[in-house]
Amino acid sequence: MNTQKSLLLILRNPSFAGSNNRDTLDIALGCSVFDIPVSLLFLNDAVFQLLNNQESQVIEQKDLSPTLKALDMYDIQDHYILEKDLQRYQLEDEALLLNCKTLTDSQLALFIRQFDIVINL
Amino acid sequence: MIFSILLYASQSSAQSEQSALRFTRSALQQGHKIHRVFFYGESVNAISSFKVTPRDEVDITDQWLLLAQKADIDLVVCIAAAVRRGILDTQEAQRHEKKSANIKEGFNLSGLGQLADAIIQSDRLITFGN
Repeated sequence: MNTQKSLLLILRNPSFAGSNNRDTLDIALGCSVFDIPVSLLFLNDAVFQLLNNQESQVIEQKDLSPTLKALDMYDIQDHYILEKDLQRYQLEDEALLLNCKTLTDSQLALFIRQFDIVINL
Repeated sequence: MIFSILLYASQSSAQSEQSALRFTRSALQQGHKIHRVFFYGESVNAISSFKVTPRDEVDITDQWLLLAQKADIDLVVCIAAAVRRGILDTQEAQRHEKKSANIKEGFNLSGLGQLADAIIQSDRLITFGN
C-alpha cells in the first residue's frame, strides 16, 4: 500500500522524561512499515536523546538509542534538529547518534507546514 | 471530510479526551465522517470493564460506544500500550497467563498498523494529547 502522505513526528522531551519518546518512535516504525515516509524533529531538550552513552541502566530505564540506531533499517533517515538547541547545550552534531539536518528558527514553521500529518505527543 | 482521532492523555486526570469527544460529536453533526478513534498512551487505562464512574458523572468511554454505534466509528486500543497497563482481551489474558480479560466490550485491541491505516484513510488525523 503506497501513500503520498508524509508524516512528521515531533519529539520535545529529554531521554527518560516520559513514555512519549518511546511511543513516538513506535509510531515511526509502525508507519514506515506501511510505506508512509516518516521524518523526525528533535525539538528543545529532545536533542539529549541523540547523545551517545546514555547509561540508562543506572536509573533502571530502557535505553532507546538502539531503537534510534535501528531507524535506518526502516528507511527512516530524515532527522532534524534546531541549530539553536545545539548552541544552547553546546553540542556538536558529530556527537549525535543520528545524522541530523539542522534548521534555523525562522525555517521551522515552513518546515513543519510541508508535511501532511504532524504528530506531537 | 474524513477524520481520525488519536487519543494520548489520561481520561481520568486530563481534559483532552472530553475535548476529543465533543470535537467528534461536532464533526459528525456537520456531516463529516470519523473513520477511527485510536487509543494510545494513558488513554487506554479507561477502557477497562472494571472502571466505575461516579453516578453523577459522565462516563466518556460509554459515550464513545454510543457514538460508535450511531456513526460506525472504529474504536481501536493500541495493544502494546494496553497490555503494559493491564488492559487485556481474552486472547492476551491467555497469552500472558492472567486470570481474566478486562477490556470493555466494543473496543478492539490492535497494533499501530491501525494508526498508520487511519493516516492513510483519513483526510485529517487530530491528536488530543496532554
